[in-house]
Amino acid sequence: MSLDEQALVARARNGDVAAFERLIAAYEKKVFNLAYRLCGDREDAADLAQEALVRVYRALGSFREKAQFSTWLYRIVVNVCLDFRRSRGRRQVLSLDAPLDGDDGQMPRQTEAGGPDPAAEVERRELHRQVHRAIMQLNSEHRTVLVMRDIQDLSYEEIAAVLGVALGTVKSRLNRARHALKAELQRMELSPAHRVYRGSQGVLKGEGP
Amino acid sequence: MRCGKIRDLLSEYIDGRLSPKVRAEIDKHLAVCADCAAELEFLKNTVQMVRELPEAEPPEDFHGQLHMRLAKAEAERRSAPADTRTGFGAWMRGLLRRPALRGALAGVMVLVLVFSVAKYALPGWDGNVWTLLRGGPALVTGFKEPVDDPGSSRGTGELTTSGGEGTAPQPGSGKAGQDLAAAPQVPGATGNLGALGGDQIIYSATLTIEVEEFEPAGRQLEAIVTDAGGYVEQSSVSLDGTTKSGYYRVRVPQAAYAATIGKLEELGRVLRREQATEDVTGTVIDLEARISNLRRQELRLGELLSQAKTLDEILRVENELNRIRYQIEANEGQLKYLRDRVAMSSITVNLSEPKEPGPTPVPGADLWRRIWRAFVETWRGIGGFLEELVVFVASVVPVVLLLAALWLGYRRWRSSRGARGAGL
Repeated sequence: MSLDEQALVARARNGDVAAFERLIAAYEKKVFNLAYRLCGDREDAADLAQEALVRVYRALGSFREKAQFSTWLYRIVVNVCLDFRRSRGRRQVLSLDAPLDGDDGQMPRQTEAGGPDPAAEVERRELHRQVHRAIMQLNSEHRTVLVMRDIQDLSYEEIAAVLGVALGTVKSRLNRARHALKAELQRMELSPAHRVYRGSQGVLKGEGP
Repeated sequence: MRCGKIRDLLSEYIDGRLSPKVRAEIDKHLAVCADCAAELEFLKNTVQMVRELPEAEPPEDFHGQLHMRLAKAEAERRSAPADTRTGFGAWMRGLLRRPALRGALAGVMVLVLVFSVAKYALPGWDGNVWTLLRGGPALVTGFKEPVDDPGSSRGTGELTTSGGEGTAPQPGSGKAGQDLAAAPQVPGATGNLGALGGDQIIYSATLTIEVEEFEPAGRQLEAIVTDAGGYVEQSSVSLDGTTKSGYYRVRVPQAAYAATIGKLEELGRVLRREQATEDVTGTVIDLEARISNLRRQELRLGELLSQAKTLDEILRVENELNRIRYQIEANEGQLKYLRDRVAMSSITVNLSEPKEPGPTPVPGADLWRRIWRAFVETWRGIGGFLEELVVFVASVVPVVLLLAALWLGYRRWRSSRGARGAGL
C-alpha cells in the first residue's frame, strides 16, 4: 500500500467519506465488474458493489495494514456476491430478457481504427452475450477464479490471497474452470475451435508485468 | 507425460507459469499428440473469448448512490453508542459473530434448559445424570416427602433417638432417625419388675410435644400417668407472652413404659423424642454380693461382741460393727435406688403451645426483615440450583468430550478423503 493510500485509510477511519471515495476511486470500476461477472445482472451488480464498498468502509477499522488493500477489498466483494447468490439459492439469475452487455453503458475495449462494420459489431456483441451466459453456468467456485484471473487479470498469488486458499488450489481450480467453460461453450455450439480471432491480440500474452 | 497429466497443466501453460523444463516437455508432447494440441487450441480460444469481454460500465448513478450509502453508514456510525463500536458491546458482538462461540452458547443454553426441566420434573434430584439412570423411576415418585410427617427427617422438628447406653441390644435402639414413627422401645421380655435374676434395665425417655392448648393437655397427661400406675415426679409451667409451656417428669411402671409413651404422643405433634436404656444388671449383682458379705461380717462381729471381755474389746468390736452397718445401709440404699429406677421408668415431657404469630404486625415494621429473608431465601435457592447445575454439567462433560472427539475425528477423516478425492 502506498503512503498516499495509507494516509487516505487513516482519514477514512476517522469518518472522512471523501477520503474513502478517493481511496476506492481506482477500484470502483473493477469492483463493479467483478460483481457483474459474478452475479450476472447489472442492477444487482451495482447494488452488490455498493454494498461491498460500504462494508469495506465500515470495516476499515479492522483492516490490517499488513494486508494488501485491494486483496482485502476483493475478498469482501467476492463474499458479498457469493452470499447473495447463496441467498437466492441455485436459481438462475440471468434471464433472457435482461439487458446484457452492450445494451447500455457498454464501452468496447478496443475499437477498430476504421469504424466498426455494423454487421460484425452485432455479431461481436452477440458473442459477448453468449460468453457471459456461459460463465454464469459455471459453479460459483469455478466462476470466481475464472473471473478473477481472466477478467480482473489478477495473478495466481493474488487470487490465492483473496480466497484464502493455497496456490495449488488456485491452479487446479482455474484449470477445471477453464475446461468447464470450454465444455459449456461447445455445448452452446460456440465451439471455440471454429472461431478465428479478429481481435488485436492474435497471440495470448503470458502472465507478467 | 501422459495426456491426462498434460491437460491438467494446459491452463498454467497458457498463463506461462510453468518452468522451462516442463514447458519444453509439453511442447514435445504437443508436437506429436494432435488431440492435446487441439485441446490447447480450444482452451486458448476459450480464455481469449473471456478476455475479449469488454469492461462493463457501472450505471451512471452508481457513484451518486454509493456516496449516499456511505454518508448514511457514516451517520449511523456516529450516532451509534460508543460501546457498540468499542469496548464490551463490540467485544460481545464480535464473540457472537463467531459461529463456534455461537454454537457453544447455544449448547450451554440447551444444557441449562434441559437441566431446569429435569429439575422441575424430578424434585429431590441431585443433578447427576447417572443417578437418574441408576435410580430410575424410584427417584421420580419416592422423593416427595410430606412435611407434616413426624417420621420424616425433613419435618419441622428435630427428631432424634439416642441409642441405649446399656449392653443389652434393644429393638430400635442405635438406629437413629429410622423408624421413628414406629413403636417406642419396648422393655425386653426378660425385664421383669423387681426380679433379682433378670436383666436390670433402666428405661428413660424425653418427649417434646407441641399441643394446641397447654392446660387441657397437662391434665390429660396427668390422667394418662395415673392410669398407668405412675406419678408425676416434678413439673413446671411457664408463660412466655401468650404461649404457655412447661415440662413434666413422670415415673411409670416399666411394664407400662411403652404404652404410656404411645399415649403421651397422641397429645399433640411430636417434635422430638429421645430414648435411653441403661443396663445395671452387673451393678445390682455386685451390690447384692457386697451386701450379703457385709451381713456375714455383721453376724460374726455380733458373735465377737457377745464374747468380748474387756471394755476396750467391746468398744473396738462395736466400732467395727457400726462401720459395717453403715456400709450395708449405703449399699442397700443404692440397690433400692437402682431397683426403683428399673421398676419405674422416667419420662420427661416438654409441652409447648405453638408460637403465636405475635402482635398484629405494624405495616413496614418488619419490612426489612422480610426483605432480607426474601433475599437470603432466593440467594440460597439460586446457590442450590447452581450447585446442582454444576453437578449436572460435570456429569455430562465426559459424554460431550467423547462426542466432540468423535466428531472431530470424523471431520478430519472426511476432509482428508475429500482432498485425496479432489486430486490435491
